[in-house]
Amino acid sequence: MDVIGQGVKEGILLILSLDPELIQVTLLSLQVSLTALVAAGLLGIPAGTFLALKNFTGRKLILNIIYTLMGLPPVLAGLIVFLVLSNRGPLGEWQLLFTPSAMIIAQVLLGFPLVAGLSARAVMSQRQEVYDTAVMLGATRTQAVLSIIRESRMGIIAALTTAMGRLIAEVGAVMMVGGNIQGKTRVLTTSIVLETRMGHDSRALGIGIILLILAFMIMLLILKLEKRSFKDDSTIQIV
Amino acid sequence: MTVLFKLFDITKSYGERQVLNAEHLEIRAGNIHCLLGPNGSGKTTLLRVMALLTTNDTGDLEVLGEQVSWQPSQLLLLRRQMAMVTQSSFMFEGSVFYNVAYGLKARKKPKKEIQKRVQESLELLGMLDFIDAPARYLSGGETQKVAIARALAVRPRVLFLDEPTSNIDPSSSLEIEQYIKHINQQYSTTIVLITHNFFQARRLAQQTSMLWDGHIIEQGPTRDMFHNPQDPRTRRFIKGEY
Amino acid sequence: MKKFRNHKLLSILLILTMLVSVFAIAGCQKEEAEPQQQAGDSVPTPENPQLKLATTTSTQDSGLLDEIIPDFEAKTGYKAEVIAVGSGAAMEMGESGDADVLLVHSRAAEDEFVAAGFGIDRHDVMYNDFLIIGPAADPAGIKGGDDAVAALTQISDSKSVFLSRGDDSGTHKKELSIWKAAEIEPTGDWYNSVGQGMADTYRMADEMQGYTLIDRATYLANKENYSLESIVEGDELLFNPYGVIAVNPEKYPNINYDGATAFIQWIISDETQALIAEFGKDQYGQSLFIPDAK
Repeated sequence: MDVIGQGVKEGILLILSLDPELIQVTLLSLQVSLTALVAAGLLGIPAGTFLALKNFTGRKLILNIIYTLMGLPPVLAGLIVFLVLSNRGPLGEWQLLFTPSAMIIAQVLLGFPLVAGLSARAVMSQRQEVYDTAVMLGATRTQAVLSIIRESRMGIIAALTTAMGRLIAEVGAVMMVGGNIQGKTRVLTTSIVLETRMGHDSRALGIGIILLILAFMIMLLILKLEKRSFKDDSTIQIV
Repeated sequence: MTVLFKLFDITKSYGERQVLNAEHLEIRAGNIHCLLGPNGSGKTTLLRVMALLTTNDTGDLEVLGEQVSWQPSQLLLLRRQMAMVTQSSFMFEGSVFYNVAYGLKARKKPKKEIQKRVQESLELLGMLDFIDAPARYLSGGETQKVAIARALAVRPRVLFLDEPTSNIDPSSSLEIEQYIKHINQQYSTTIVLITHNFFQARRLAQQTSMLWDGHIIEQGPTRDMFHNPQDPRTRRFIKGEY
Repeated sequence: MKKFRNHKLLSILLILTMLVSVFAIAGCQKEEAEPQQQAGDSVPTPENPQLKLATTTSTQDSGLLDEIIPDFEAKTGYKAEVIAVGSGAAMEMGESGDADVLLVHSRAAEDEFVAAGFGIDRHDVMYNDFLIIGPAADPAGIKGGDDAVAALTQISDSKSVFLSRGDDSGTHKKELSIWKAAEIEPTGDWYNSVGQGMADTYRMADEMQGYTLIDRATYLANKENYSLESIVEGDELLFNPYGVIAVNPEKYPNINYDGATAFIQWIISDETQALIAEFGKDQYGQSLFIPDAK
């Protein structure tokens, strides 16, 4: 019990102390996860839309694979990227292992199926009438598809939010391909693991609090973007 | 008079079920042409084929003087001369302005022209006050008026109306009928109107085609059909026995 | 209609699967419980058979515990729950009463732990030794020596890549003590503090072709997989004694002190000491741990 109270206290003290090492760790966490999120979004939203709208053989199979990969264990993603980037692996000569780039690659691998799968769901939930209305108003096919994406943006934002939550909190992949090197690849989650292993429970909890605050601020930001794109915020009212 | 749509032996089946088998249909420019018939008679499928939203299985389809090839470039060219309003029109998330401007933006019209035409169209339908309102929060009647304004803004040669008044109250319904008539006369827009309400057909349409189980069982000037229906099924439909 | 039935079928299947899993788990537990009851006449049945053993990653990663713990369980009837962490964390667990007995290697800290009253009955168990490993290319030019201090000085001077456990473990403390002896404060881009276990650090060092300090057991158990070579060994500074300590029951009455005592008696017994000496011989041709209980 005491550990928790002390952890909260230590967390606040840690934030107030503006410890340069902790700031660097926090910024790296943000940099890695946000970059991975943007990349996963840029790849996943078009891929999800394509899978939702285009009929071709193997589409169902690919969708099912993507749905399965939505639950890809971070450690497994880390292992795959590790094996590929290892000196013995096919891309060993790139010398990316134990760098932030490797961590971003692993996180994109984790984030992409989530964004693609959930975007596909969101787009598939749109009805035929969206497309019909658009083309009957003279939209080209591309314009009509963009309109469908626009109508699905609530679901797509949910996809990005979910992915962000997963990436910022994930430890298995960044530990494996980043290596948790102090000052180079150490992020908040791997710091928590390390502090816990060293028996510094309250410091670990303190860093956990910073992580939560960070996640909360990112969610606020995403929600703000969401609000801006919905002038009428359409919530179901339950009376 | 120019013929805008020529259909011969157009059929459409979903699985085993044939929903459309239209032997012959012509729609002439400038008319209000009504497709009349009970639910499930194939009216909407026929309209969707003419609007190039649904492909026909067999038959000969000529739209706005062109043999339909279903090539995307041709579809775009033809559809840009058409517009459609359905019974509960879909509104894009956004303001009334966004919706009415949609077709003009798709055509990459200059901003000023978009502004002007959106205002004109809304004004014509008496909906100018709603220009900044969120489109998803309109009543049924208001939604239909915005949908008509949205269709009108692109100045279509042909306007498809699929039961545009069947989800709204009688007084709004009559009001919308006035707008339909006005559009037809003012801009000589050809209107293809689906309805199962034969009074509406009689009030609006010069020509009527009667559909039954996917077949066109009778067609001609609306007045003649109502005064002297040839087919017994038309007779009973008009009497309200179906 | 057909679709609907499929759905129903699917739900029934799902429910069945869940039921089967529940029974399977329940069944497993029963199976686990039974042999203990049967064995009741030959093996003592302790009052509280759960024993929490906090130990270093090296004993776990080398496979030593997997080899000898079954003997302990069979002889005493205790069930050992092994928690493999760094020595530092293991002692923290002892301090907070989350472990019953510790098997650690950090002599100075152990004495402190006992002096502070957290632990009692400390005994020497065995020792192994550390070695400095590194890439065959040997950029620091230290291969073949037996002076750890000189070797680390060379690594630092040549700014060769070095990986530190950086996790407060016994190995980390050992490494820091050598730096201290060399009067060097290791910082810079070449010095990588990775904060991971020995096996992970070994793997990373191999990928990065860097030097690291490693215990012999982990080194021998994994060296087939990696290209790093032994660079410096044999320095007395590199010896690594393991001790066993019971957590003081006066601090935490819930501690399984009987179990801890049984464990200590067992591990310093001649039979177990012989087991430890045997461990690794058939596989590596040498003992990984040298027993030295008195």
